[in-house]
Amino acid sequence: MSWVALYSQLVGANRHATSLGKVWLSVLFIFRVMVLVVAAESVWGDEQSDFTCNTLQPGCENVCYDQFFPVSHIRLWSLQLVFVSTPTLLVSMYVAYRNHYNKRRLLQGSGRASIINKEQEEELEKLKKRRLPIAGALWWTYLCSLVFKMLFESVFMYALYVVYDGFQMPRLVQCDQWPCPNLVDCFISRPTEKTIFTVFMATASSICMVLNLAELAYLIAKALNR
Amino acid sequence: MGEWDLLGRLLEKVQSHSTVIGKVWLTVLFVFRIMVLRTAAEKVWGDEQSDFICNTQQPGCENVCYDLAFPISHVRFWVLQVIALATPKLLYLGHVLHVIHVEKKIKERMQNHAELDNKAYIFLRRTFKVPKYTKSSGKISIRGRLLRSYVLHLIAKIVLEVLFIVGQYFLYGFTLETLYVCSRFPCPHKVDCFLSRPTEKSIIIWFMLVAAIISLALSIAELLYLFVKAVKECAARRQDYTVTPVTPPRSEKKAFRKQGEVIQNYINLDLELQGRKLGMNGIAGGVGDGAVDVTTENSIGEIQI
Repeated sequence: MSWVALYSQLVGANRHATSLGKVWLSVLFIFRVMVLVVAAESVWGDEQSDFTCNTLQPGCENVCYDQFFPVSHIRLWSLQLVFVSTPTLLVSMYVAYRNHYNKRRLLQGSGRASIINKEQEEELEKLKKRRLPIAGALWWTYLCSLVFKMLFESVFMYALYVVYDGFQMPRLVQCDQWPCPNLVDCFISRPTEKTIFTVFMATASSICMVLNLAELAYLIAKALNR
Repeated sequence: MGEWDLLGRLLEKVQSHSTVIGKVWLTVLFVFRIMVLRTAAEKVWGDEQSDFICNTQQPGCENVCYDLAFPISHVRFWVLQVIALATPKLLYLGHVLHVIHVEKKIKERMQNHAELDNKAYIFLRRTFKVPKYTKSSGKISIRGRLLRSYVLHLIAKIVLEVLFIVGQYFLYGFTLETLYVCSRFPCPHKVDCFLSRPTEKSIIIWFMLVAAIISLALSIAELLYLFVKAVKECAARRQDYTVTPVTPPRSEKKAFRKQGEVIQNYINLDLELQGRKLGMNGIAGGVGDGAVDVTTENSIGEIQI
């Protein structure tokens, strides 16, 4: 996954964000993406190779691993980060649409669309670089993007909680799926370290949700004041 | 790794708003800690679990003994340590950026009001805010609220550094022994387990520990440096106050006959308070004997970085 490419996309959209939005982006990339790539991926790296079951029955380990880890934490977190970043692109899409609309209006105002003089070019550039105030349709788009961000965050956190029965990784799991001959003890690799990182990522996720809530409240307050 | 680059870029932005010692601290962080972490430590700890061998055939015993011996791997511990140390600096960067943004807006507003009548402008200006942190060269000086948040971030860095060093000591000690004895279920009895590359790991642990202690020393030195400078500025300012009063005593105010002198006095008062000279050559009128020629030094009350 090229997180750097995602970052460059989001930074462009971030120009039109509030300051809380900019803080949110930094928290997202430093405390979640960076920790995921630098630390968490190496912790979960040997999760299947070091998943040991007390049995010689071939195939039993594979089946038990599959039963207890339908989708790995790393994949869930990567999907969560991608989904949570996407609503920001809604905002940049809207801004691009507005710029295009302004450009068309400017060209129409001048008369013939083919003749663009220096002055109009400058004005076009100024329009593109100007930071749009968050009002009107942009306000609604921004609000929608915030709501979707919070929705995706909570859905993924809930999914992680449900699939793995909480945020703690057990040391021992017992399984008796065919072809295991009886109730077999299976041991997970590095459960404590995995628990530490699961709790860390859940905390970072909650901080991001709180930031989104605060931004939502700020936007609504600003609109009510106007 | 591209991910460390993002942190690097953000921390570099703070560099221009730090003291000299702060810049050295950042270099130590990047070269001795992050780079060593990326290039050396990850390779040495690469086979930490696969080569953790226990003297038993019991399936699962190695897993649980490894988990007991290393609740969190050294490499991940150091990654969390670096991120935790960078956080106060990033919060300070946020504050600096906020201040820059506010000052830019004030400057714009001041420029917009430059068209007003000169005299009206002088009196009106008192009601507007004037840029407080920007020097004439355009750079931001660390004083007032910025200084307070800088000191706070230094204290947070020191506390976090100490916490992590102490935490590492209580988790693993500072050396790794070759042998680890473990008797957790499902190991049938006390089992001997052997770590992989204990000597190499101990050397790198010592290296990272020395780097952490150097960082801690630099942070403490920076705090002392700021403290000593503040005390010196305070002492110098107190001296200045006893020699040059800001406004003339009430009895001498009769010396102001012309409106120009009153305006000039107002300006003098303003300049002394703001500590900055603005070119106002257009104001007519000489200065009466009662008014004092105030020397304004940019360094009074502010810490030049």
